[in-house]
Amino acid sequence: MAAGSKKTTGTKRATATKPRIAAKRPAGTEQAKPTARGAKTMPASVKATRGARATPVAPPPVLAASGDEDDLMRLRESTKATFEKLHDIDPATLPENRREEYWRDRHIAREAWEQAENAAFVNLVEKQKQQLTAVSASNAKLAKDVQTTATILGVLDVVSASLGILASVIALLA
Amino acid sequence: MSAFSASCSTIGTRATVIVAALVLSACAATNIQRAEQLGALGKAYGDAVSAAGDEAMASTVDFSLDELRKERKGGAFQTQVEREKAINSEIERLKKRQQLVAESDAQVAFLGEYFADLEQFAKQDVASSVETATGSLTDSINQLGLAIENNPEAKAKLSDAERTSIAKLAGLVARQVHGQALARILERDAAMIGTQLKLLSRVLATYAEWINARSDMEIKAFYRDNVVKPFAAAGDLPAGWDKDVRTYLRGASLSEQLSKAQAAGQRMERFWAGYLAGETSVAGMVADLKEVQKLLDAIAAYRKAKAAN
Repeated sequence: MAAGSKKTTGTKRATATKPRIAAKRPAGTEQAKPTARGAKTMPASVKATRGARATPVAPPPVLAASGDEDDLMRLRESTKATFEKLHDIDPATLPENRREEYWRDRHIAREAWEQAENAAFVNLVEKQKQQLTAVSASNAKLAKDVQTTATILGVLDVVSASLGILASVIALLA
Repeated sequence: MSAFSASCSTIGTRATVIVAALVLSACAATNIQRAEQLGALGKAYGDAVSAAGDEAMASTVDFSLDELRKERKGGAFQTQVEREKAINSEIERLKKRQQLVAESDAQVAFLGEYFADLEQFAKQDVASSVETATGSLTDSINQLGLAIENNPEAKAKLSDAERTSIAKLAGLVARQVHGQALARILERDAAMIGTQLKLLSRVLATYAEWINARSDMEIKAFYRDNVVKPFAAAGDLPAGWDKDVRTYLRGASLSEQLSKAQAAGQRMERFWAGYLAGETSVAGMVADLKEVQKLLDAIAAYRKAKAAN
């Protein structure tokens, strides 16, 4: 997570909570520090889980319809990093009584990452939609250009045919 | 002297006209070719992005379901209510993503129509049509002249050679007009094309990121669980160990190539500015797109083969 950004909010609880699994993890498999940039709001399902257990992973972000692109990218990267660190841990190396907790944390971290990915993509699709009018206008202008060319050719054909008919009429009259 | 001078002047004028016609013809051909290439490129780009979206979605669904199954087995959800909640929210997220990919695909298809029309317009053989029409026109003029003179012996106003020359010149002019029209279109729509190509490259980069992130994680876990662990353990190696090592090597190689595809996406983002400045060719971009397409096919085949095992 990039430090120093002033635009995002964080959860104090997330930063204050000491990761429980990390404390007893074998050397070299440290868990990611919980991300403060995780959530602007938390879905009810996550609130319920966190309220009961103070899970150290980042809560899922709200499915923002729009937002600052850089913030959304950073959010996506930080939630991915958190999940990846949990994913890299071999559950078999954890004490038996920590495994369920590990899988819960891993589930919440994945949920957060997937929602952050969706939120970033919502933003991109919105940008595509905003450009729709420009594409539409260009499509219309192009169709008009094609039509104009066809009309010019059509006029030439009509003139040619008319002159041909006129010649036949004159020949008949003569 | 004056006859020679007049003759030189005529030759000079003709030469100038021929040179001008050749230059105009070359300019027209360049504009037509540029528009045709760009139209084809835009269409191919849109197709590649849509294909990447399909693969990204398939890879997301596979990964999420696999993870959810492991989480369930690992005891992440203790009660039935928790399990219901987990599957419902998973399905919601996947549905949301599917809907977003479909929306993006629709925009890409709309843009594809523009590029297809541009290519079609550039490919339109305006010159031949005009040549034929002008040929018919001169025929009609001749017929008309003969009819007015009312003399079966009267000669045609325009000879066959003149008729052909006029038709050819008209074709040349038509080609020039066509080329200019296309140049105007490209100039007029430059900003729109640039923005759209940039957006396309971002969508492509997003899909590549979805695939890459999942593939990296899967490959790491596969290496740990199927390659290292069985080998490090005492006793005989499992029967399928060699096959797993090969699967890992293939997956790792694809994963590395995916990073290259992301780099290609970044190159594409800069393509339009370079193209307008005359620094980048369409050929380079087409080669990049072909690579991306080949890679997507390889990834899809790998994913299917892994699922079948």
